Amino acid sequence: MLNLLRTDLYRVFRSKSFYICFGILVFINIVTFGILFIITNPSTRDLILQFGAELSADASDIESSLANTTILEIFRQGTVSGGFLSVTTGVFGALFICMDFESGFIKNIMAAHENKWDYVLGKTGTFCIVNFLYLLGTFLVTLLLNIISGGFFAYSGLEDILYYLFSAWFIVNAFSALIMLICMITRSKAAGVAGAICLNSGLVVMILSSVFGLFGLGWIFDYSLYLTLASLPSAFQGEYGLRPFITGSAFFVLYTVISEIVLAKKDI
Amino acid sequence: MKFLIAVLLIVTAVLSALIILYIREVKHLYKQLDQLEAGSHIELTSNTRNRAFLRLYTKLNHIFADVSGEKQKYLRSQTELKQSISNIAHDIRTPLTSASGYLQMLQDCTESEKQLRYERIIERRIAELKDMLEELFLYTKLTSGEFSPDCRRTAVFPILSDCMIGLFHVFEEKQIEPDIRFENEEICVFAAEEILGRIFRNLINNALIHGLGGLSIVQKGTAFTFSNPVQNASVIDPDRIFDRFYKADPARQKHSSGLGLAIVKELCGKIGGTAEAAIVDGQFLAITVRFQPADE
Amino acid sequence: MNTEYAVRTKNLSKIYGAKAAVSHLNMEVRAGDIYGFIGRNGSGKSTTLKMCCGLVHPTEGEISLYGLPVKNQTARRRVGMLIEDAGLYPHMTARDNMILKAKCLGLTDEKSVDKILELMNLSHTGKKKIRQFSMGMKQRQGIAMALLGNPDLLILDEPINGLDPEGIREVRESLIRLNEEAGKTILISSHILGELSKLATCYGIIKEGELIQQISREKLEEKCKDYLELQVDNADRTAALLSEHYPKIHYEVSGRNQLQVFDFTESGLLTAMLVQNGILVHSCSLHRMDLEQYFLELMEGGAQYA
Repeated sequence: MLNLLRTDLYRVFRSKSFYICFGILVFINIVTFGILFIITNPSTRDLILQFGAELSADASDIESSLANTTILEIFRQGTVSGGFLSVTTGVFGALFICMDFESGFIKNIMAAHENKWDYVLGKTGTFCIVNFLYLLGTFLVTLLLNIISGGFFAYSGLEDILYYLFSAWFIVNAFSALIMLICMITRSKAAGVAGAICLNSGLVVMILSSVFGLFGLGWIFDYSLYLTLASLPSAFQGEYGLRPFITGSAFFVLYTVISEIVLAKKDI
Repeated sequence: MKFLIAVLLIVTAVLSALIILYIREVKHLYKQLDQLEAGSHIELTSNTRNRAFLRLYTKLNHIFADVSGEKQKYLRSQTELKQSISNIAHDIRTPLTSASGYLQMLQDCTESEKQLRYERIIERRIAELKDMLEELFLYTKLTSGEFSPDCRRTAVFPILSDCMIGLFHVFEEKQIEPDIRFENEEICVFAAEEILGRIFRNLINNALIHGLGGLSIVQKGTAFTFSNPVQNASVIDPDRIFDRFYKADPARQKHSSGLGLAIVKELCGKIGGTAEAAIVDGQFLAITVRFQPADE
Repeated sequence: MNTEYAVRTKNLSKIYGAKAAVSHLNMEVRAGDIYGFIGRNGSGKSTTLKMCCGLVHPTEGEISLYGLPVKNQTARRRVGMLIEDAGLYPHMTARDNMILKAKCLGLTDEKSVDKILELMNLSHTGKKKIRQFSMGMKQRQGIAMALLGNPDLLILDEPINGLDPEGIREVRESLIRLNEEAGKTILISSHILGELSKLATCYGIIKEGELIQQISREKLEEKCKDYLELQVDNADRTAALLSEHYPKIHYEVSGRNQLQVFDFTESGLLTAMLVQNGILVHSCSLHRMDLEQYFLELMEGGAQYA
């Protein structure tokens, strides 16, 4: 397992898609930060109003709602709760795994490793590391932008930051495991990417949630990965704060185990 | 406080994981050694990048590579030996059978002319066999390492002349006139007389038996080149011509031991010289033997 | 642990839906052999080899590698494989692909990577990506990947597919060298008889998923040689008579009272001459068989040669 992990990491850091995806995330973070900055900052707000931009809220509303915006909030809005982060890592994951099958390199791996857990755990391990790097990286960009702008938005406490990043990491890892499952079943890049876009962005969950909501069962989907991620609190709040870890771990284990079973059953 | 506990827990978890990992690595090594013992040649693989383990594996790989190299050399020489014995037996069987047959015909025959002819043929076959076995004995002696020749300053030309005279009847029979060109007929080399004679005789015989007819001997310094035209130069591999039992022509009609040139190479080596072969102008086989110069 | 056989299958079968791709295959590959696995396209060669590598699960039967079941990880380490097309990452270089496989196996140093690339004539490729490689180079790369870790057994499925004659020759020479010098066992499949015949020391012939014959090269050559076989009562005398009456004749004594005469077709005259001279000729038969003819007849279902 460790050997496959090393192999995958070697490939990750030599692949273009890793850096491109990271670039996209950073870009979105910058854009989000930029827009919120422009709207909040009175001088720039006036500037864009002059250029004909229309704001649905007036100055005082904006002032009050954004007065206590922390960088964590920015970060959330930017990439995490909207699902951008999970979609991007999902797409990267799908491309990464399906490349093994498309190129036939999986033959090399499987001939040497009879135990399918080696492969599955190696992949999930890789994604855990990649997700961690993406989360940390994009957060640091937001932090940096805040520092550059002279601490425009409030800094969140260290405890809150750690809690948030850590719990988001758990959820995103579970999403990666889900994408891996899809790839194990379909072995197709197209299906994997489509799955990443539909599932990780919460599209499917939202649809199902509203359908089930008609029967009063919409609350089930509050436990889905997407909604857990979207509603992740920015500060540690006791018991409720453990939910993302439990949900994340549960789904992570579930998807990983099913992936292994599917992989073992099918011929290469 | 809670933070400290958390940190300690993490550290404990990590250390436990490492211990389990290393013990499993040792078991993994054991399984691989099992395979190596059974005769495998696989390169050892590791699941950890810990330096101590890596150094161990590298060292083990090195040791096993050495051992397996030795083993292979041994097996190869065993196979070669069996192959040689088989070759010899094979080569002996046919002329011996032939001689025996002629003997039977001789016994049944009444015409004195035919009788004489059969006698001569039988004589020839037996002589062939004797020569083959002589060469074989010589070859074994040479390669067993017991051979230490007594070398001294030796004049080459007289020895060559002796060989030519000794084989004169064969030259006459085949109507070949040898072309000998010596730069310096006084040339002396560091060698033993009998060995030099043997080398020359084998080279000349090779040309006579396997060549198309024609032989030229050229001397330059301490290098002597024997060349003769050959029928099909493209099938001859000059690098392998000194191999035991090498046959350029697979059917190999001529009755020879196949060791002639191998002996030449061994003998040259024993007196500090070399033997090389090359195809010249697409139709000549040129064999060059070089010797140590005699001390002035 | 019985390690006389590198690969041994017992009653191996693979059924896809209603069709049996491989049925009741009992194959034995001796350690040190080059086993040529011949069959038409679609006869079950690839499926069998995939099962031997552990890539496909057999429906029935067992496979053992060097005495251990094919599922045993340690046994699989002794195998290097190239099945169908080489599994290579197209956007990476030859060396990177090798390094990835080396890491995947857990090799402890990367020197062997460069050594093997040189052996397969690929060390000059530098930064060229696999997708820019020619078919022949890709196949060579596939073989190079199979050689990582110094496996004792190479399983190659149609490795000369798509190669030009020069490439085929190079691969053939490398394989022979690996077998003779490094003692590797090679299980190689092909539908091109000519190539296999220059390489194999043992043949396994598969037809419609069944192994119809397994035969060593010597026995095969015995069956295929082109000569006159004489069984006489007095070999010695026969030998002499042959030389007497046909001075240019080429013959060999092959047994106590058996001779083989090559490149000679007038058996009638020869037999007559021998008989006239008092030899009892028990039999004089013409042995003629073309290797290809042999296989074709076998494939067509001629059980007489089994």
